[in-house]
Amino acid sequence: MSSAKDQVGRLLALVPLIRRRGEIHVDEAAALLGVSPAQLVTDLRVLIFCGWPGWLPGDLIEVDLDALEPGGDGMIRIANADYLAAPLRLSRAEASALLVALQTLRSSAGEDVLPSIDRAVAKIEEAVGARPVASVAVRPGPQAATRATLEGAVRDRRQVGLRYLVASRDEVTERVVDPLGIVTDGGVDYLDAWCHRADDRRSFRLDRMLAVTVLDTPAADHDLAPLDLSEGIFRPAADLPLVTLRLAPAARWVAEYYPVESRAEGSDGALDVTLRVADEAWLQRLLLRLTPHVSVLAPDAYAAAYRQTVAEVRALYT
Amino acid sequence: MQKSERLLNLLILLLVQRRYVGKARIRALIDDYRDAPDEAFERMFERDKGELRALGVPVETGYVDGFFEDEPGYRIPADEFALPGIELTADEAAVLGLATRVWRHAGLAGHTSDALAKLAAAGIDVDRGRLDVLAPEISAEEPAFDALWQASLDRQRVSFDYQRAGATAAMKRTLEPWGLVSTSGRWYVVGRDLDRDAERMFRLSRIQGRITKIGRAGSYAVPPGVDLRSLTRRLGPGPRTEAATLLVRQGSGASLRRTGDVVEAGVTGPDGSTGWDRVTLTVSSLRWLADEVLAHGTAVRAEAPDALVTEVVRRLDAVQESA
Repeated sequence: MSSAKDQVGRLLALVPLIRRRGEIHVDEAAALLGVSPAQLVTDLRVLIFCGWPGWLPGDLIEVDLDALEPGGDGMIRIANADYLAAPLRLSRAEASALLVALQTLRSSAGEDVLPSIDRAVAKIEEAVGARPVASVAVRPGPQAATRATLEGAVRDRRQVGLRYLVASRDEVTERVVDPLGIVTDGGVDYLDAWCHRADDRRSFRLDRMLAVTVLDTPAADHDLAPLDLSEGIFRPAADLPLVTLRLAPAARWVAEYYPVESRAEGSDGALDVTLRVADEAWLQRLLLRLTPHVSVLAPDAYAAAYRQTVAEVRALYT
Repeated sequence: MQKSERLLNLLILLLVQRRYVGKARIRALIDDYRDAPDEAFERMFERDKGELRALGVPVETGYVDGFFEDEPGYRIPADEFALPGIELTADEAAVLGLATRVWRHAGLAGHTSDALAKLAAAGIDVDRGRLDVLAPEISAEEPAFDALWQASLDRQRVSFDYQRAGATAAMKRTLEPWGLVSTSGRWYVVGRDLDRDAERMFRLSRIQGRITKIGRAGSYAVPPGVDLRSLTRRLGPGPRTEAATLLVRQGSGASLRRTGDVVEAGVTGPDGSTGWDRVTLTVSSLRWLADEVLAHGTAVRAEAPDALVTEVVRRLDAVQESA
């Protein structure tokens, strides 16, 4: 935050603020602008060389720098800055970032806050005469409540009881976890937690939690590094078996969603990929979902199992 | 002379004049410009104007003498410079405090804070701790995001290589970006595709390589009536209008049971046993439901409507045919 542009931006906000209040303490102003008091004093030293063109002594902006020296009262006072009395209007980038953030708040806000958000959005849109260049749809509904409950448990260091759907096995499980934090990967929210059932660290998708109960038991300390999401939340171990799939165009999305070890373009828009399989049930489910846009090139055992399952499912419809 | 000093003095110089100030006069009045060789002055002046504009300062270009249109000049109209009066109630201002927690993107979080600092300077008392509402977070991790956001703000054409979902090779696309929309955590850029002369939407994660800017900023306008909010809604799941019935093996299909209702428990299933439940559900897409039914393997059988059953069977038969 030390570029000249940022410094000018801060000063353009600071001058009208001081003029409005008469004086303001350097600590309060620094907190408002999100910089250190020392940085703010550095900013103010720039002001004394600025002013009306001609820059005779009486034309320059005056700052009471003595008050900011050790032993001073720490209050910022300025004079001769009438032309900067009004704050600068929001840039399009600022208005857009703020408006998108405000609209996004709607998704998690309760009925009591919604009218305040809508009025704030309307007033700001009118004042800046701009519409945002971006828009976000956030999944509304139960997940926001789940998230709030879990964040509370993380903050209060309490254990959580989960009724959790393990989709790959189509199985509902009950478990007790020490919540570590909530992480987002590819638009999906996960609880990063220590699972007492697995006695290991696990990630749980919020949208697969059927029930969440904050327990009275305090969560144990685990001293774990934050999750490294640089390669996505799934990072299959290197010793897991490999499977090679041929993905027809309609199934190519798999290569975007799951980490693939290798990929090669095939004919007719097909994509050949190899992936590591942690759980055979997960693979069978994925293959069935992709039917008929996928085939198993190797190993043969997986290919045979897939054909067998397809035949069994087909038999339900005779 | 520090650069921030130069920027601020240029700003004040252009702000206090009612008329356009000629370049020569600007150069004479600001030390750094005066001391620089011609070419260096031009470069410095162009960059400085750009930085002021990026801060939101409306630097206007015109002619010093309106009649002859010979010498270009500059000014900052005071009424456009200033934030118009804006009165917020305490609860509206509290909402702004929450907004600073939403962006998990360094640039946009910074823009939001800067916007708030300006509003604070205008006398709006933003109390960041007043509301205890959980702020949702937006992240934007796609590498193309920053360049497309800026191009949308600047109204600048761009081109990029795009890998369409079903296509084998990436294709070069040229776009007038109108804006970015996000749904389920994925970002899309929307705008006019110049090669097809039609409104198009591109998923950012399928853009390969760099975004190339083409031409000048401000070279097109977003058509009136383009509403990113309604586009975002359109992108999301549609209304639930398709009713369906499934047979679900007891103890299975928790995700389907969660979406629908068990209307009949213990019915006879396709295997002749009575360990099945009849579940009805209303979904926005039968295609999505066919995927779900298939993923559940022998634990779920589609029952109605016929279109769903036919689709599931067709997809299963296609495997036998290809073998």
